Amino acid sequence: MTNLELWEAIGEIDAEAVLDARKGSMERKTTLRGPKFISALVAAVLVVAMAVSTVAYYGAGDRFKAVFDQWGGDLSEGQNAFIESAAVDVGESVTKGGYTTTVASVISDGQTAMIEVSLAAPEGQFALRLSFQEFVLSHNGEELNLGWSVGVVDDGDGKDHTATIILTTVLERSELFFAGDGKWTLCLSNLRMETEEGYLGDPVVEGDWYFDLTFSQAADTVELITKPVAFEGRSDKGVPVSARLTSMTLSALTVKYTYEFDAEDVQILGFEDVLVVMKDGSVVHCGSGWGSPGNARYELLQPIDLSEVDYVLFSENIVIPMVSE
Amino acid sequence: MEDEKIIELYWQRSEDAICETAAKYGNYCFSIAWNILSDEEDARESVNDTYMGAWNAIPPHRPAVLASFLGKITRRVAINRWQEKHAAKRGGGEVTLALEELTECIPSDQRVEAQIESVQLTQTVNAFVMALPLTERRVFLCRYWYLDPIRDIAERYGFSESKVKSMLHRIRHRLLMHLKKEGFL
Repeated sequence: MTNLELWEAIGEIDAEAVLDARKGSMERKTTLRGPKFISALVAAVLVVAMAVSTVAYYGAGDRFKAVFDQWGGDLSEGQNAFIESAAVDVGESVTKGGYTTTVASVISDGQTAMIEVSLAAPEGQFALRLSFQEFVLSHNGEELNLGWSVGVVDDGDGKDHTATIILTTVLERSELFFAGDGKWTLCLSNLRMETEEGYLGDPVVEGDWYFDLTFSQAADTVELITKPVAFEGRSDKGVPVSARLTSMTLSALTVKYTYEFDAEDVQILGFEDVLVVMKDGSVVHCGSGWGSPGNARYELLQPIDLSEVDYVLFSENIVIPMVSE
Repeated sequence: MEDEKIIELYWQRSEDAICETAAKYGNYCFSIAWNILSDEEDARESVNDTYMGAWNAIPPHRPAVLASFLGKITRRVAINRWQEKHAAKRGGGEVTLALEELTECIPSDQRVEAQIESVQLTQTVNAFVMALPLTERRVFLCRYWYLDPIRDIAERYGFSESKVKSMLHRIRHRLLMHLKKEGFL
């Protein structure tokens, strides 16, 4: 493959997304919204107002609203209500070797946990190239084997040596929930700086950063499959495989599905496209996905109000209607 | 004029279709061609070729998003023109810079003219880009679809240039991993 072929493939990217990139950047040029985007010029004017309403402007709920707004556009009333109820301030900082890591807040629906982490490096460093070697979440002392995604969000301060990232993971075990019960601990290990080539270099600070986390109560989950739904999946080698969808659950931040198939020499199917289509026609996309034989789970890029879901579009053309409550 | 009416003019074979397209999307197409060619005359000719391309394609085509449809033609026309002009030499302009950046997504031992399924590559790249968080997706497309200079992207998004470079660097690295995982590398 050549870079020109890759460039030509980029030229075929979804037309709506291409147009959105131009419109979005133009809108953003004139409308940087939210508390994290207040310019120095107007900040002085807002000091009095913020002194009165600091929590309203800077609470975990408002920060996650800004994050989801960046990831998926304007939020509905129902989405805002979920964020307000599910986001929890943490505000724990640990400084080692001049690098400060702060777990600012978390949000969860019981299945998916999103953790807002701020990094502050010494001036002159590019914080966006910092990364921890390992993320480990423990529940009551038991380490959970979880996959993580790392999303970069605009922290709005214009400084290179600070960055805000969102760590996201989805639980695989059905009997466990991110919820107020038990003791949750996040351990971040060995802070490293990526090389110019994109590989993790030597640690800039070795050691473990521990943070205690608190989650709100788990949100509702809905099962959409009443009888198996046939679909054609693909093996991890790209071979078509006849399969059956046996379960699909939705909760505010999570889509999970399970499947069966009869093909030999296939351990796992690739990830299928999953879109959540709302009654007003808007679409919520999935972000990262994880899977093991027979199941897949995704984080959603915006929370969904279950009462406003119309259907799920699975594997490009299979409509799975929302069950009536 | 609304897009549906402009498209209808094409279907009626009315030459007003070209005038209305030029009035509404001339600057948009020119900016795409300019980013690729960095030459006013070449960019204007590419835009004229875009109108001709649209005239020949509609009908039978009825584009769902006229702006993207025109932008895609402009991009392809301008790339062809750029390739013709740069067949013998390389260097200069956003195309060269962007292509150099994209080279990071391909290991040095695999930068050869291997036969690949372009449709599958397109689908894979599309799936990767559509799964990016919104801001990253927009920044990626501004750079590698529109070939916007990094300083322009930084200004539009209120980021520092180094932050944009860093964000793109991360995305390219993830794209490299994704292409490996999907068996293209």
